[in-house]
Amino acid sequence: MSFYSIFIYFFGILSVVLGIMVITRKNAIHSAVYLIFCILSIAGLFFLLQAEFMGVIQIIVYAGGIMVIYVFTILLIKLEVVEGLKRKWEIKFLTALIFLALSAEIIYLLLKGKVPFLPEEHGIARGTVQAVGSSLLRDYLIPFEVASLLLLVAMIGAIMLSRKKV
Amino acid sequence: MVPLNHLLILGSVVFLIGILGVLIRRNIIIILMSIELILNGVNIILIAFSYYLNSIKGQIFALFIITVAVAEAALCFGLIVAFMRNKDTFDIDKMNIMKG
Repeated sequence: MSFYSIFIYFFGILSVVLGIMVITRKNAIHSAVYLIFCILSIAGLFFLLQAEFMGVIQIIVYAGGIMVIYVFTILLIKLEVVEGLKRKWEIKFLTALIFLALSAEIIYLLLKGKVPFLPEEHGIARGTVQAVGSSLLRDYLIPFEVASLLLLVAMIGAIMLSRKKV
Repeated sequence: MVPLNHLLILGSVVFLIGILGVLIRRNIIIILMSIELILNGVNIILIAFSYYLNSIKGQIFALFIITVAVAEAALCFGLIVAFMRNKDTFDIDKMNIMKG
């Protein structure tokens, strides 16, 4: 087993463990810190899969942008620990049913689908800014513009929602 | 070399952890963080396919998913502030009326 495989398994197991920590903590700020490290380990996985631009974007936008929004939200608002599971048993049963059905479906697909191929030999680095940018501006120009419109609408919506007088 | 199956299993496990968090937690901020976990699980699968199929398209779609995640986080910030102004709690089970 090469160093490359060891690092991929390391980051993968780390992201799963940190993801479990995110959804089991009582305090929201602890969850936020665990989520930051989970996102960083996923960014490491992206670097190992030769998607360098996506790894950098993951660190800058996720760990630096989105998580700052979450931490600000938690800090601006009175921190409060919500009690654990105190729902009715019908709702718990329905929750378990939905989760088990979805897990069974995904496990079935993973077992059924045959993915025998291994990566080909890559001579060149592929996930560079140049490759991603030229593909984005040549083949995906209209989705790119729609994404900018989506960000504009989200910005206006956030300002409208958080005004004092609605 | 790592077989593609292991990366698909990893992405699915992260996705399912996010689904479980959305289903069992009641704190609205942790539910939003679980949604980020779901999007990250999908991103892992897209980037793994992009690497193993030797194509750039998976990374482009992962980029759009990150864009949507940013828009969602900004909107959810506004929603949480508006919700806290009305109800003064994080509990999503108290979010059960539709008029403000």
